[in-house]
Amino acid sequence: MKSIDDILRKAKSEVPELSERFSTNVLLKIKEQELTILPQKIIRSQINWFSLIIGIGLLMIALMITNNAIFEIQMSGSLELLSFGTQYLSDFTKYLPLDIIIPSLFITAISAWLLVRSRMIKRGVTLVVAGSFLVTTIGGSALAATSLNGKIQASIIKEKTNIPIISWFYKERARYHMKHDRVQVGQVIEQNSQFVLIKDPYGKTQKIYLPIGMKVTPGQFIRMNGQVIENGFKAAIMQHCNPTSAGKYFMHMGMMMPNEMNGNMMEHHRHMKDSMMQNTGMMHMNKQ
Amino acid sequence: MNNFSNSDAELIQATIDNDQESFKIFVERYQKPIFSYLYRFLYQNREAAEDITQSVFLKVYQNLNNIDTSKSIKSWIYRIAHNEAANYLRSVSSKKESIFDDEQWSKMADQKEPEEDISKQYTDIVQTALKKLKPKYREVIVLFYFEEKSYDEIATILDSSTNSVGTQIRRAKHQLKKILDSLAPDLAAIFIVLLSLLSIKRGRTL
Repeated sequence: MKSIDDILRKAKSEVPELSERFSTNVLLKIKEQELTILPQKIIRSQINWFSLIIGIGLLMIALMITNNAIFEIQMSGSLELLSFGTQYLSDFTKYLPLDIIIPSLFITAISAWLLVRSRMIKRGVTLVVAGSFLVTTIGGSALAATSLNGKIQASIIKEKTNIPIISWFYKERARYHMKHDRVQVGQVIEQNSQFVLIKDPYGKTQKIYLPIGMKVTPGQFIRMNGQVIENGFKAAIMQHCNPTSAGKYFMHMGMMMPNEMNGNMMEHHRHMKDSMMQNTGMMHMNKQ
Repeated sequence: MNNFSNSDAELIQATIDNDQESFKIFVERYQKPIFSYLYRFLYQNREAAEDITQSVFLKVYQNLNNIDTSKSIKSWIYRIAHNEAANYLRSVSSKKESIFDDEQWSKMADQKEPEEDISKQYTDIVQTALKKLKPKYREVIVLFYFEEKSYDEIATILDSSTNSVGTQIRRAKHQLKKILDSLAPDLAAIFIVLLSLLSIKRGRTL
């Protein structure tokens, strides 16, 4: 059986001769139609290069914005909700920074269009578009996984540097703002036989009743699923948090780093604890 | 990188300097391959191929100042030809004129005398099947098998990637096979007989 290649090679049709006067006729047409050689335009390749450079530039901007969106999700504390399973999935989605994600997708789409239009990347449209979105999402996630954001945030908060938009983002947006009736996150300040005192990322001291048998030590970061009761929070489930990621929640509170409490904070905790114990004592006395 | 041969560059410069004879030489240099490509791509319609070849060279003349020096001159002219042919096919299809003539196909179906001219009929059958291909598939087949262009050259002409050209050729062959398979049974039989006779004839001459 002959292959289709053989069949095609043998099926080359004869081509008739062009008229002898063809080239003369072309010149006559040029004269007849009074055609002229057009002046030199801006070289197309320059426009293509320009599209390519702008496209790549926008892709990098989209990558940075995606990185910021992911960092905001990390800092919001909403990922802690997912630690207790998919029951809090809808609550988690409320913390997605759509006002950052949508512009990022839009910029990626524009950059993909520019890259296709530049004709410098000799790949199919689908591949260029898919590649652009992959670069943005994978690049943004990879960047968010590094310590770069933490360093920038620390430098902005600590040194009080003021860079428009960027400073606003790291000071105001990328901070803990998760609030849930049934989920608590914080760092253990003290444990006694009845309850645990934790400091939540808002700086408030909370009294937690842990499930029976659960033990923690001061300095540990914990998350709990349970319910608010009259004099504190009764945890049904308790998990230990990753100290690096949970430590970041305290970034805005006196630069406390993971597993590290500065002198001022310790003093503050001691003061809070004393006043709490004093109040409890006074309540007992009133009851008596 | 400049891919022009010196004489091409000289002819272009001379034309820009108002030497019409130089452009005539330039046209004569490239008219045959361009016409051949258009003739095969445009369903062997001589009149259309000649008209479009002429308009290709008129466009070339007008744009002599804007030649993309990063590509070969031949590929640049082929690219203009590709665009002109695409415009022509669009205008023809918008006028709802059938490019593929079914009558021609029926006539061929009646030709059941293989001894008449085996080679000619063999070519005609494949050519007729080719006419049923979508223009984008037909074009890559013409450029690769008939004009003997490389994948890289075709990619430049079609402003596409080499990989994409490979994919198009593969799909085109697949479609062509399907078309040949779906032909009327008698034609399919003729086709097989023709192939066998052709092989026998070639074997004898050897």
